[in-house]
Amino acid sequence: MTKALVEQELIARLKAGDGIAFKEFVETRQSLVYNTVLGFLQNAEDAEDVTQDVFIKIFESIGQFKGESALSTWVYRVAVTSALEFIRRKKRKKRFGFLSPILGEDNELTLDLPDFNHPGVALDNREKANMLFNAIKQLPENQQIAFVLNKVEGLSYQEVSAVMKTSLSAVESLLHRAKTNLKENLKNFYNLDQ
Amino acid sequence: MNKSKFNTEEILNSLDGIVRAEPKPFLFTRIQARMMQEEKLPELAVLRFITRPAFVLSLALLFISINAYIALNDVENGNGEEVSQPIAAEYVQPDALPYEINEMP
Repeated sequence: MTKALVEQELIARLKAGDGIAFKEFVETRQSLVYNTVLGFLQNAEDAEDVTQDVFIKIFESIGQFKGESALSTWVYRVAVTSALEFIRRKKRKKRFGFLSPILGEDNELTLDLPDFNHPGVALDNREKANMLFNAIKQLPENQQIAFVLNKVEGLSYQEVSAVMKTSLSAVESLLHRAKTNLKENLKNFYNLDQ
Repeated sequence: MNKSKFNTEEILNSLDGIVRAEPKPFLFTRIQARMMQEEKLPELAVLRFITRPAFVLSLALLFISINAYIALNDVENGNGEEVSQPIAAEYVQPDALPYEINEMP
């Protein structure tokens, strides 16, 4: 059976609410979702929570998936959107933290934890990657999406453009601007040479 | 600030050869547990929402505002007296005054 047929069958089973198909789906795509989300959140516990959210969202909204794009493209979209929503929510909480006793929100820690070490980075690159991840956080959202999908998740420009629903040239431009901004951020933060 | 020992190009290339990170084992079991828990949650969520300090405060403010609005409107239109006079007139009947009962024949 071809890959496309297998995927179609999986989608049909998921739409029918088949639990075994959902288990299969989670097990084959968990690292894709977790790694993408981790690239944005840079915190293992938050990434774990959001990964769970992503799969629940997918299970609940698979009926809306029309098959216009590949299933993995759609999964990436849900993962990116959920990660960015989480970041926005966290920023809002931090901004209005003084109101949390009145608003009755959970008083969980909303501070950014410094020094994120991605477990997939080679040991001798850890320090540099740590500096890079700090700079990625300062990028505008679109540039951040393009950069994380391309550099952390290893998607091609074509795949990034499908996830972002934009043209190939737009992705190229986003990545170019992202690199320019990262260089600028790194120079300012760490007093680097070019 | 101390000068870093790396240059920007080195840092930008530090993600080359990155390996995908994996979540902790038994992710599916945790997702399943969360879904089962969330199925039980709707009533609890409503209860949690209506007992939130923000919700209670907003409700109290709304109640006070409506009362204040009605009271101020009545004062401005002079409705307070106009409404109370006919009511008083309706309930106080001249032939039911107590001195009539005790009146000596």
